[in-house]
Amino acid sequence: MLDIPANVWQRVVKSSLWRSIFRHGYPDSRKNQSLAVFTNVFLHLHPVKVRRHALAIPYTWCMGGLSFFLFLALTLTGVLLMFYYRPTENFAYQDIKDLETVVVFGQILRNMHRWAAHGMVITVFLHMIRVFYTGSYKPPREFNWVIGTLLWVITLILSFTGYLLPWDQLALWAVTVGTNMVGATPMIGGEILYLLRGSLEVSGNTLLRFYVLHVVGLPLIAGFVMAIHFWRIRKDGGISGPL
Amino acid sequence: MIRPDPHREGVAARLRRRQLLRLGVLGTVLLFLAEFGGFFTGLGTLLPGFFRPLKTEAFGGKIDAGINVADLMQFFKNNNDAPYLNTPGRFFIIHPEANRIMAIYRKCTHLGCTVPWNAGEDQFHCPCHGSLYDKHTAVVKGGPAPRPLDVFPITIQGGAITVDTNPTTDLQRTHYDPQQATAVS
Amino acid sequence: MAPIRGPQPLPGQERRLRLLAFVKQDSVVRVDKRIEDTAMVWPHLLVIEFIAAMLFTGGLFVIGALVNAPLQDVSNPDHTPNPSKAPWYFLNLQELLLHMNPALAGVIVPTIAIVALMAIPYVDTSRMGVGTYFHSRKGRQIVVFSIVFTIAILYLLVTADALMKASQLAPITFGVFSGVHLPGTTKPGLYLPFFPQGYAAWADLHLPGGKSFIPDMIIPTGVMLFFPVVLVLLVKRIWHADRREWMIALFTGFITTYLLLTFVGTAMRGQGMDLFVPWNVPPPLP
Ligand code: HEM
Ligand code: FES
Repeated sequence: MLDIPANVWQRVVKSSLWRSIFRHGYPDSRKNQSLAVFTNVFLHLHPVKVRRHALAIPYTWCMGGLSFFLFLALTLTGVLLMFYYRPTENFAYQDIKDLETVVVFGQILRNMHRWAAHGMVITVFLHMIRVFYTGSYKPPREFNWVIGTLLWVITLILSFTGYLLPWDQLALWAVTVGTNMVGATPMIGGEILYLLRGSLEVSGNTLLRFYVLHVVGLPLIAGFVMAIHFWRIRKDGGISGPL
Repeated sequence: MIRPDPHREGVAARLRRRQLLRLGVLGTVLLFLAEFGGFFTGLGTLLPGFFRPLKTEAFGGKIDAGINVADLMQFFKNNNDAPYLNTPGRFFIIHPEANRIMAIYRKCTHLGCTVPWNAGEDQFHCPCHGSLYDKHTAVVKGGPAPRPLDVFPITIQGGAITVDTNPTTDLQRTHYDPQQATAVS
Repeated sequence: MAPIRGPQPLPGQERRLRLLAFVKQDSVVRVDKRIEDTAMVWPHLLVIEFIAAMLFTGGLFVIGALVNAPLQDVSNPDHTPNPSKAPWYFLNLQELLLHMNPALAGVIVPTIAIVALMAIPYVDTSRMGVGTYFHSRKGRQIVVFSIVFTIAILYLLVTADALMKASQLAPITFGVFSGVHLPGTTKPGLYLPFFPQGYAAWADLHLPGGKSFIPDMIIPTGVMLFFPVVLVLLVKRIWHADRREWMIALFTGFITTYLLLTFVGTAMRGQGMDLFVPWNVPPPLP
């Protein structure tokens, strides 16, 4: 229906502009398929070939990949929310209300951000379960399992810091209860609690601290640790499989 | 151990020197990291750090109770000794016995919920796990709370009541004792 | 000078270096080499990833359009709602808090759990069973057994704790015994006749260290050490489990505990964090 005339297509792919962007032909040959993957910064996290069973959805459940996907979705929706949200005692709650009532598509963005965050907690947990039951933590992947556990903890903390931001009753008391647990640390509990909250009880300072951690600190850390995680998957020989 | 060994020569002696250097580098890095950490966190209440601002909100410092002694005593008289609430300071002033007052931190000693005054039951009743505290002395009457509500020190000057609301230095007690309360003349 | 080995550049081309472009199949990155069939990432893997991403985007959009994120009244430090709960993924920890010393529940146990998780590959170092689910038929049976074992023990412990802490003053109904009136109390519900003032109050009077020592520290620590050991011994006894297999038992016990406590904290705790049956939890007070 919408066939591009062959000569136009030829002209386009032979143009110097096109060839400055893509250094390979249409990926229908093995060579071009390989080049397509490893000359592309986004795709080159992948190897050029994978073992066939690694494609099996019943094997990986795609959970690692989907965790990463949700992380990206959260980044996108989160940045959009940041355009309207001010992390102070006086504005935070009202800004969320405004997002819901006066910002076009604000409510759905907020919902997507919220549910994706819950979803990521679930997918990361399922991913850990599948990695364990398939024995994929065994040598040479020991260290990647450690990195993974770290990612799990970071995911939980990311979610938790975000929980305070709406500054409603749910947020305030969930975080009060949650941080009180940290305060139970023997000896240094009170000190940690103060550093975390920036005040003696949950207050505007806490809101700002959690905000900075939630939108900058923890995503950066998570990004770095994920980079290590993905790098190690390849260096450890790709997805695990039967010996 | 670190001095060059006179019995060894050449590579062996030099290796020791390398160890010294290595220790030095390691030490410097550790010291740097410690300083870096210290800069951010400070060291307890002794040393301030970046994340430990010198001044925060009103709560935690000395707060005026918002009522003078005479009015407070009148308040107790009119309300059958119901506690007087100060919201920014997060404390109640209670009336344990004649001519004594006491400021108590309204944070449940169990898991930190805000303890409200329950006028119907004539006692403090924590909503979270049901700890009960006495109307006059705030000692535990029931529930999981491990100890009575904590006491903030009170100073009275010319009828004005000032309460030191720092929860890290408040008085934690096991029972009521008149010493804990402040006398009003 | 050491002799030069390997292929030499042609004269005049010494500086023309090029990084690896194509690497043969069993290249440097493959740690374990074996013969098998492979698939090109483009298109086979990328298609799967693309479809998964599209499904999730669509799904997320639909959920976002249908279900609104909660937003309650503006925060009010003067008013604690009843019950006050942490986010659901921390309710397992909050549940632990109800049963033991706060330092134990909030800090020590989670820290140990995470370190133990990280240590798994350094304990189970064999490479047996990589790439297949549950290792073997035996492994599958062990998983089922561990789940059943953990659920049974946990429910027993949680219920027993709630019963023991009930008292004449505050009997417990679990949401189903509101018709029961025991002698010695005006309120409906159950309590243990030999602890009329509740186990915690009894411990305060009669046990060394009061309620904060034996009931809050010694017993929970004992329970948390005892049952995992029993589980491992059982699977060793019944299935002659090897290290991978008892590791499966322990990990299954861990995630079952994790999920079950999350469930108890989310769906079975009502006002005052009292225990209820999931279908009869009273609504929270605002
Ligand atoms: C932010 C969280 C995480 C992301 C985005 C992530 C991502 C991924 C991805 C994309 C893979 C490729 C295979 C697959 O999809 O199953 C993978 C593999 C792996 N992950 Fe994760 N992961 C995360 C957390 C974890 C956790 C919590 C663990 C374990 C404690 C873990 C341990 C591993 C291991 C050992 C592998 C190699 C598995 C194999 O070779 O079969 N990861 N991860
Ligand atoms: S926090 Fe008040 S009873 Fe638990």
